[in-house]
Amino acid sequence: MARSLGLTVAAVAALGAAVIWAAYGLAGVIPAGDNVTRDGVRQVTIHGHTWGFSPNVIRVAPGETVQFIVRSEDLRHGFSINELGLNLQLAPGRDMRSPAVKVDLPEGIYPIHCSVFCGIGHPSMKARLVVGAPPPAPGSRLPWIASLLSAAAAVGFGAWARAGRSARA
Amino acid sequence: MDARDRAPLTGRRLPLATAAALLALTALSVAASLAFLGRLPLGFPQRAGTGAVFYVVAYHYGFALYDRDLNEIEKAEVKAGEAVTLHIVPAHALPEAVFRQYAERSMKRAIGGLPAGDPAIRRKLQEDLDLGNVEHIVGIAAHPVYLATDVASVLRGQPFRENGPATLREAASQRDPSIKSVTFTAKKVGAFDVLCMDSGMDGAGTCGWGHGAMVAKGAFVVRP
Amino acid sequence: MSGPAGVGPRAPEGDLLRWAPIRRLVGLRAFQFLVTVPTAAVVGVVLLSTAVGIEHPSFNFGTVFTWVVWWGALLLSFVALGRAWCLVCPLGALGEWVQRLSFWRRVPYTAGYHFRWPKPLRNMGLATALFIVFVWLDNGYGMSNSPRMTAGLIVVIALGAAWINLFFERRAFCRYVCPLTAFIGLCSLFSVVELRRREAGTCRSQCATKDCFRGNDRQYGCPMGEFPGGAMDTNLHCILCTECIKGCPHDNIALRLRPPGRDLWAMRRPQADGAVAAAVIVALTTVLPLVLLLLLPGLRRALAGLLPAGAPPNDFPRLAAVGLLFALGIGLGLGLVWGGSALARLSARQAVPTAGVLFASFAYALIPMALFKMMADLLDHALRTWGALVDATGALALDFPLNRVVPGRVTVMHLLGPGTVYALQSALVLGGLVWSLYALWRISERLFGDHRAALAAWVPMAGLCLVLTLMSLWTLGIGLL
Repeated sequence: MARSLGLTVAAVAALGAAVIWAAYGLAGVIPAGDNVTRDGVRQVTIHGHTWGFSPNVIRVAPGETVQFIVRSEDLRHGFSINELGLNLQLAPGRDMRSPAVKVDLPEGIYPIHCSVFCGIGHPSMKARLVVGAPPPAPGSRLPWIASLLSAAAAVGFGAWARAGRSARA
Repeated sequence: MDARDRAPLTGRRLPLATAAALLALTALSVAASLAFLGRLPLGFPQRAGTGAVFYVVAYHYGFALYDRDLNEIEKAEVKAGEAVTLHIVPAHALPEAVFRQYAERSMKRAIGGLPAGDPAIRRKLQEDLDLGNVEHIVGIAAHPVYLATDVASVLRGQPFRENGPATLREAASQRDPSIKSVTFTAKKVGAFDVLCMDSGMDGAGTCGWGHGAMVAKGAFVVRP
Repeated sequence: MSGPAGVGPRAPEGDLLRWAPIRRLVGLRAFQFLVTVPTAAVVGVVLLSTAVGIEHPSFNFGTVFTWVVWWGALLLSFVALGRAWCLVCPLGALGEWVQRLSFWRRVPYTAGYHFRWPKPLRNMGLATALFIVFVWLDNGYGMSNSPRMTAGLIVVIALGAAWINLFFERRAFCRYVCPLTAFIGLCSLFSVVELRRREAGTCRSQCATKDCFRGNDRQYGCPMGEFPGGAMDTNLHCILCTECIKGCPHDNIALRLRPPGRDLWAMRRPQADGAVAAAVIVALTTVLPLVLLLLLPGLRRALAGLLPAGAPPNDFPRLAAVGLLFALGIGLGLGLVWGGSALARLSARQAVPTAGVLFASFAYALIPMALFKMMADLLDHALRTWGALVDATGALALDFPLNRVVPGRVTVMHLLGPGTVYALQSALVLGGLVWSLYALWRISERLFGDHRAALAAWVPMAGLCLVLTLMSLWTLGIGLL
């Protein structure tokens, strides 16, 4: 029993660490290329693909006027920023341009997401619009909290089972 | 249960019914295959050319409307219940000089925060051409009109078309492949916008910077 | 009470058929037809909309309705009513109507040949393979991204059902071929409703005709080839058509409420084909998304040098990359479940049950994790896409039923912030974890007489569940990091 537990804990730790490392790698900042500014409007070029955006972090100053030029590399995706009222429908291989948008938003991190269902990774197809220099979002702690809760659930159930409880009782 | 008990009570087979089912399924399967391969047109097409006919030239960033005799008109007017055929002609399918003439019309309007006549409009337009934002998706609000142009196939990688029709009249009479057509019945009474639609379908896209201004307000009028 | 856990004489409470209105309703010969007609009407509109309507996935009513509303309702229906979708599915019904030459009446003739389904295919192998193809079509070709492909899927399934049911007995298509049957059947094990015989003795000693299986002159036999009077002890293949309820001469069929997930651990003879299908579904929902996110861009770039490029979605390097990663993800998932089972056997230090038997039992217990992960995936999209549904329905109303009109731009608005959505998603994923842990414990207790051995076997599988949960949580949480 002790050996089984030890092996399991080691395997969970190793695989769990790999998963978390992979997730942070996927969430890692993909830097923006050089942006062009024309007539006071900064043009931000983004590529969408299954299932992510590149760059995945777009930094703007509060009050800045930007135009997004978004291209899908494979399927039809969407590029949506609710707070700016933007929803571009992307065409494979085509540049889709938003109107010039004045970012009149308070400092913060705003989600950018794909608005067209594009398969198994669609829920993960997200990016971030960072306005100003906000503090780290508290939401980044949520996966850790959820992971600890799931570990606690597994351990708690095991303890319940070990205490001799039969599920049939 | 033994093997005899496993057999379900199915009833007597009617060979005629089986034959009819086979025939019907074969016909449906063939039709579905043809439709999938694009050989069977779907969409309930109406006979084109009966009823009202209009030509709509889509340019960066507006529309020019013409009647069936290619006289320019301000609004396309039809009667409710009338069949309407629209031929969408991308200005980019015509020679550069003709394209530029249409594009100059955009200088007469305020677009994208720039006042009418601002030279920056021309620069933005050229930028869109350089970026390949040459397609339009022409729609009429509340009507089954949603046509994407396919300019890229006639441009063949060149900035402007070579050896194509010299004028709109020539393009119309030759039924140039760049012209997209739709026939529908005008049902709802009112004045409807002709506009360049948002989309990403099938490689077509918006026409770029001035796309949001590409609206002919109330240009399609349906009278009772 | 005797016999395997959870099987034996059952108390009458929870039997919905004791309630007269329900008994009268399901007793109607036309019951299934009546509930199928509304679905058929909706599917007809969806088919027209996707086949001839606006060719944009966000504007087309058919695509938005199918991949958001129908898919979401399907997942929820598993919990409430088992294979309730199969009860109302017009595509399988079409095959049945062709075969029976009747919409609901019991007639003494048929158009079908009623050949027996080939023995080598009498398992879930073909259905599982087709489910993988279905998911690959979605992710490789973007089936849910394309109204025309969605229409094609509906037509292929409808014609497939009609052809197969014309030649083979019962609902052979629904049982062995439908790309969704394995998925629907396995998720239905979680349902709170079950259809079973009331008294085993009645069926064994008093019934010589086995009407529930063979039919009689008033009713058809079970269209799924199940034997409610005998071997049927799970919801896996029961489509709730109620033929057996109507046909049983001893009124010995009950439609009971029960704790959710009971089938997961109460199966008397868990079959290997179902276990493999369960492991595949778990792999598709938990392992594969992470594999694709990590490896698809790089693999596609590598293959771009070897395969000719094409216009998306016919981008051959990408299609090949998706296919290879599907194989990797599914293989990894199967390997993890097998590895957990092998480790469970080693930990229990008993020669029997073997790792194969453990795999065949334990794999079913992982179904709640897959089901709840899918609900979590869909929750996010539904909360963002409700606006598109409103717009697409408006477009449909303007040009009913052909849906060629676009009313304007598509509304996309979060109903909830990303943190709140993630919290809800986590709750769902954790719910799946807890159910799976419980199911695994019940199975372990049943298979190992010794408490210590049962616990020792349970531990590695619990560890596996935790790893799969972490995969789900962190894949969903990438946007928050």
